[in-house]
Amino acid sequence: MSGSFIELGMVATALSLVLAIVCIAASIYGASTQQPVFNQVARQALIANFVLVTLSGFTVVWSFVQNDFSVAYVAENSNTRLPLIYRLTALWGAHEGSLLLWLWFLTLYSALVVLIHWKTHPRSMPYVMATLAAVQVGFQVLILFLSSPFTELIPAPAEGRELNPLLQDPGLIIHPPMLYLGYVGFVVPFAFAVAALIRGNAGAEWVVATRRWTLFAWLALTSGIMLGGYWAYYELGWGGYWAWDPVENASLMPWLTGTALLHSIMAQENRNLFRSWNAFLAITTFALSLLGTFLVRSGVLTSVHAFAVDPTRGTYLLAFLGIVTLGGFGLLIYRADTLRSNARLDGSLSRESTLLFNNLFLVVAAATVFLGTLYPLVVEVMADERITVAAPYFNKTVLPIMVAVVWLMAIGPVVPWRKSNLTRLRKLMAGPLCAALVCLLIGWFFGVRALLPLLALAGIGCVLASIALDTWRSTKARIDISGKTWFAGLIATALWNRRRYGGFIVHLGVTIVVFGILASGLFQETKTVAVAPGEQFKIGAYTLTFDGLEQVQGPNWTALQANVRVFAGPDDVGLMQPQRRTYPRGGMTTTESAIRSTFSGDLYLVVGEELGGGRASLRAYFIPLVGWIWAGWLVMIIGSLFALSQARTYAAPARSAPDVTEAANP
Amino acid sequence: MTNVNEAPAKSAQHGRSWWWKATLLGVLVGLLVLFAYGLKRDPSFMPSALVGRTLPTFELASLDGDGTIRTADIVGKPHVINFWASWCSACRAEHKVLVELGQILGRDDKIRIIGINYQDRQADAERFLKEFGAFPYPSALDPNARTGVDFGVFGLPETFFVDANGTVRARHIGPLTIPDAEKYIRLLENTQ
Amino acid sequence: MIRAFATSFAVWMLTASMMCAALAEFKLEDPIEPRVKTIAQQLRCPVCQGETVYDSHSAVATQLKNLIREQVAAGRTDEEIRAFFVSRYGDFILMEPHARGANLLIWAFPASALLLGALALLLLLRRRRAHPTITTAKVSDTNDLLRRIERLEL
Repeated sequence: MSGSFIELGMVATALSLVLAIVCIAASIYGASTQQPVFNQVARQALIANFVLVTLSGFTVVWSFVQNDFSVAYVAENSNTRLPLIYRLTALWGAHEGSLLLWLWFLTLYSALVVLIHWKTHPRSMPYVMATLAAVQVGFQVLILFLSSPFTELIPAPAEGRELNPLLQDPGLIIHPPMLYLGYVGFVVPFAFAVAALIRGNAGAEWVVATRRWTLFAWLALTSGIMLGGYWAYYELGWGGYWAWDPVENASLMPWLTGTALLHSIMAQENRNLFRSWNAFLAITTFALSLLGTFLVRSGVLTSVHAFAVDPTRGTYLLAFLGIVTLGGFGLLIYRADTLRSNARLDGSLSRESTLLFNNLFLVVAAATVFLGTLYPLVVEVMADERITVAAPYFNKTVLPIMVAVVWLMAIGPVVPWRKSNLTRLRKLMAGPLCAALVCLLIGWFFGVRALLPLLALAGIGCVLASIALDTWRSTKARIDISGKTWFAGLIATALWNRRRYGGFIVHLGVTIVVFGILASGLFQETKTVAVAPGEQFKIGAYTLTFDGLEQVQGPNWTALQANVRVFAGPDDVGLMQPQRRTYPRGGMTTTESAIRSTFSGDLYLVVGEELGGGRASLRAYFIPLVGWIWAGWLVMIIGSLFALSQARTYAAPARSAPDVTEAANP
Repeated sequence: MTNVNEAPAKSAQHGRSWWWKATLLGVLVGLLVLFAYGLKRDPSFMPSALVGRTLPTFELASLDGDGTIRTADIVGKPHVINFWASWCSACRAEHKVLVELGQILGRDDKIRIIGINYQDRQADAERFLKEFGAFPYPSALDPNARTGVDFGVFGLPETFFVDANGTVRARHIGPLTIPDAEKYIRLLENTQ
Repeated sequence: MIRAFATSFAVWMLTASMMCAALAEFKLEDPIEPRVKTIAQQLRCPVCQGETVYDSHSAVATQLKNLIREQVAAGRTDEEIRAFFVSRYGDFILMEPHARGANLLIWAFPASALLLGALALLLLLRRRRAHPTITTAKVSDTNDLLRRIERLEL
């Protein structure tokens, strides 16, 4: 029975492929012949696809729950001893299921876009639907013909293998879906940009339609990256959270261009500027999301030991990526001349010009990450050499750019649109610059001597003061009119323009993250010791006593565990138990670090190896203020949600009356 | 599909936009070609810094108990040097190939083969050979990986092909197959 | 982080088998340790996914750290120790590519792209400003904020 159940999943996916093709044909035919009935067909097809792919996903999840090892994917990635929660989430435990999750998010976004924008963007809708359906086809073909999670095993093995133990962790339950939610989310601005390009009309409407989608996708991608960093921090056992690994870089690139897009669409919305540029960013961001998938799945960039590469899959993904990028950018090149904005930049110093610099920095940062990640491949292809471009390169090149971006956060949001002058800017920035100087001196006092961290600290001070002053001025103006208390005035000001203050809250979160990165990097303490039971050692403000090693048995693993008693001064503050786990079925080991988090920093322990005579090697880290990184992330979430809560229905921008072309169908 | 926002002074600007279009297209096509080449490459490709250079010197205890294996024994005859360990799962797959290769090479004794047991415990190595069968050639012990580092060993298994002058001619990463081995041995014979 | 995926989908099984057991390292509080750490952070662990020799817990990395320690103790310079590893493993072992030859491309890219970009933007702003099409609304300082609030243009 269960065998036929997984076949149901395959049939549902196959049917969704057919419907996606129908959708493309119907929407294009409907648009060119002006027959709304075809658009209706396309709409229903996209909504039906969500239902079908949900069903497909469910059949796989159900097979995991039922321990149905006649399904090859289940047999590969699960066994009867795997806890239920991991069987429920094993869908994205490996290649095939991850792609199905990708497709599921895609159909979800597609259906929502159709439902939400059907009335507001009727003229773009056929092209939006066709684009979404075309991307769906790409993934459906991949899933059905090249990496199917529905393949059956005959005869079914009695027991399955093992889910990658790195994924058997609460952080990894939500990290991949979050990342994918972000990656896939950028398909919406992509589809609207393509529609605008096809129609030869890239006024503010597509930007208005996609602003919140972009922000949501950005939030999801940010969260995916942060969760991944947090997971790496406590699971990989080296006391860091970001290694500039190609796979990490693949997620950072769309984040950088997505951040640029998020900012530059404001200029189009308010001033009808940067139209080709925004379309470029929308296409680039989605292309980089696809590239992320491509790099991870194809094996092009993995290490020496990537033997398990499937060239067919890689070739297909490359062809898919080629079609999407050549299609998208080709359309942009073809149409760019009709997109020229008749709006003008009025002054060299204005919100618009700061946005341009914001975009320049973010895009150059993304390009640098791109170049650094791909350069080893270039060298390999051109010169038959293997070289490494890793963390030191990116730290030296990308971090300075990001510090410049921090400084821009202080200036950009307070410079008015259209035109400003240096006198006004001096007035606006005098306070923040004083704050920057104070922060710089504080940093110096704490012994920071390197230029870049000092500049970053000063930048943080500048941003905070700038946000505070601006908020204070607006609040004061409001209090002066309404006579409210300052608190009520503040709330009213923030609620009045939730996008702006949501943005401020996100910027606040960013400064907290940057501060956490700086402090944890600058003042980190590390110690590697070989200790016998009863021996003590010190790290940070703690004294640690090694109580001995112990073998521990888990549901599907065994572990070597070190018991370490922690004293803060004379007080016994608890036992820490770092583990080294072995998963016998897969023959794999993982490091389970023990972390004691406090406001001032994390004590982080990793157990090395048994040295004989009850002795063990331990590595201890004291990482100050690292928790601020995740705290700042929470602030970024709050700010994004606050900004998302403000819907803006389409209103004509001040100077672009002819751009209103989304009137209802004739 | 009308371009309602067309502004009058467009055509004058057309001339200026060709360069970014060409750049964008060029970069895009270049990248796609790069990826296409990247896909065709052997992902285990890793040039050895040792190829074309003289074999590193070593003097290691042999696995079967008495005696040592040293560089001086190797020079004078072409050698195949295979790094293996009991903890390396790919070495299990390679084991029977090595046994076969050892027997073939042992027949006319023109080319010799030795193993270097890399970063392993002697007891584990002996258990491995008991389980899968002994190699028809000697193995040396490199428990603290010093010789492995001198050879620039990345991951096991790795096999080096050394000519009679003691110059390293080739290095193979990953499990060896008989056709692979034949290819390298032909290379050794050609350099004689 | 997402490194998990690289490892999970292609490499994990193999790398894991290569890591085997980490062995004893380190002496407590040795004065040469900071130099050992600096050098180990510049070298890539040969069996890992982009981890440094210093960060890695793998057996090979442990041995490499011991080798570095011995050479530091023997009075070799940082450059000599790096050269020792490069002559065995090739440039691949260096975390950071040399700034010479074609590699200059990636080292020069960020700064030159920023410079060129900034130059282009300034030219663009200057050109656009040369023929302004509308005048900016004059806002006196006192009413400025209130108006900006009204126009939602903050």
